[in-house]
Amino acid sequence: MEHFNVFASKLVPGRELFSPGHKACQGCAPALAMRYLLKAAGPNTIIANATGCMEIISSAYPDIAWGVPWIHVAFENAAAVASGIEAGIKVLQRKGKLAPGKINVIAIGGDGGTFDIGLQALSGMLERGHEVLYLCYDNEAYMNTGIQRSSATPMFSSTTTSPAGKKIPGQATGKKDLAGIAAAHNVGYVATACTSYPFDFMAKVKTAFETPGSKLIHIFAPCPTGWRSAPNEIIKLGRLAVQTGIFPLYEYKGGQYHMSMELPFLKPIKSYMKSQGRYRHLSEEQIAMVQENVTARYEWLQKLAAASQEG
Amino acid sequence: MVEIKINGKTVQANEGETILEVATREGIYIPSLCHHEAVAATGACRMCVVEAGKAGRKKKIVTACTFPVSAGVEVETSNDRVKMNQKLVLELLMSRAPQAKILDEIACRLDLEVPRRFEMANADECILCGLCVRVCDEVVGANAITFNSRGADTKVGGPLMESPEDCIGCAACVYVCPTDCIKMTETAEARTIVKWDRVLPMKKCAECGWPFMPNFQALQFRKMTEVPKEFFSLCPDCRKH
Repeated sequence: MEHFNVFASKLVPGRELFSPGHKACQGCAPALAMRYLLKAAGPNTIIANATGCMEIISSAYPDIAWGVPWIHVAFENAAAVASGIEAGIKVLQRKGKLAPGKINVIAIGGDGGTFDIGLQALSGMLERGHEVLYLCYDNEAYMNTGIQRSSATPMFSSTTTSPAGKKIPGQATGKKDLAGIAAAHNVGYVATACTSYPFDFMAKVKTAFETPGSKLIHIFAPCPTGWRSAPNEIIKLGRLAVQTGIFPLYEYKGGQYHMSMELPFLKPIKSYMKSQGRYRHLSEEQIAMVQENVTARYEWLQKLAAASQEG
Repeated sequence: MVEIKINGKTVQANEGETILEVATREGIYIPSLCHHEAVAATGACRMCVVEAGKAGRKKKIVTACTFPVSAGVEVETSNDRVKMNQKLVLELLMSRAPQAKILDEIACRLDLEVPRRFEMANADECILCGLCVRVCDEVVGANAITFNSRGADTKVGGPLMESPEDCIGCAACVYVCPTDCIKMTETAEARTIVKWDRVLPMKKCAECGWPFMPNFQALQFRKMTEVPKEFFSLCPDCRKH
């Protein structure tokens, strides 16, 4: 899935359902995630979108960027509203008031709206097994309100509420394992994706809609504004996050873990951190410490995938 | 703009558009396998059969992907005659490619019970729609694969079913195949397009050592774009812009 070179990109559906002209910053990767999501999901889709960057930039009155039915809901209940939409469709189709056929229901939340505020609604949705795809675009902080830390913020990252100084080297805790939490609900399909690997992401969205039950995709979406990096570097940063093992791409389906791509080796995380202002304060020891954690976690995931392949 | 009727509903269309394009825009489902917007339509798979014709005249069974609309055309996408044809097309495709999941999905979506009367000895997952051949020619420009033999023995592959020497390993065929019968495997050393039996050694970045594209592909791209020789020695992430 990793290497569809050059020409495969000319074969992706040309119709834009997330239209250009929205108000995202230069080099916004979450906006790319929305584009790819709708290219894969198609026009037969209903979206419930929690408050967050993607809601703010796409729906400033009187404009809207969405080419599909779309509802903005509060920070905490995107999953609950999507559950309601799915249940409503089921009832209307049973009563014959809506033509039979598959309608894709998607809930979208940022990392704040998913990891922190919307977690209980998400857990409820996964537990009840609604036929909904929950997409969490993860830019690792509350970006639209001014870069406050969330529980998706990685260790030692400097944000406005976890500033790096003499006493504290940025965020003190690590990132919550969202895909792990979703997999623990034993749902149909869980996957991690990255905006720098669009074919992988689009294939995962399609697999998700083919799988019965609730599904969650956690997509890693670099944010140049919040990460204090150059807007032309986001694709490279996403690729490096995957190639260094900081954000491993894997799927969980039917109780089995599967790594999405075999990495020939892990690149040193320094190559990922050096172009980001939020990591500028890090010392060599701190980088070495993060490297150790990243390698250990990647190896653990590999073991998990190998063990579930064996049976 | 002209007005046409699809299943009794009046819709606007540009003259010369195909029925499939108009129907897709209007949200009317017509199954299709060999059609792709990036390449010329050939009507090879016959899956998109519909009934079309001018009002008051006898209607014909046509393929929606190749039939250009004009004023007053009336189209039926799911009457009994169309369903009978769809059923036959599906039955024949299923005997050629019994493992192809997409055929079952189409049958399920159209709510058709497809009988299975024929069996083919050399059946695989390929339905011979030729989409990969057209993409390799029109989009990639490599023209590496083609149809071999004739009649029931027809097979898609490199010339004379040898490994195609012009294949650059871009995997556009893998991406576009409607039945997913073209598979690709990749290791740090080589990329293999399994169906064509094409093995391409990978080029490694001189700086970070990451395998990023097949050697042969870099060579072809250099010929096409006339970039300096050093350009493809580095991966896109290490290249200085």
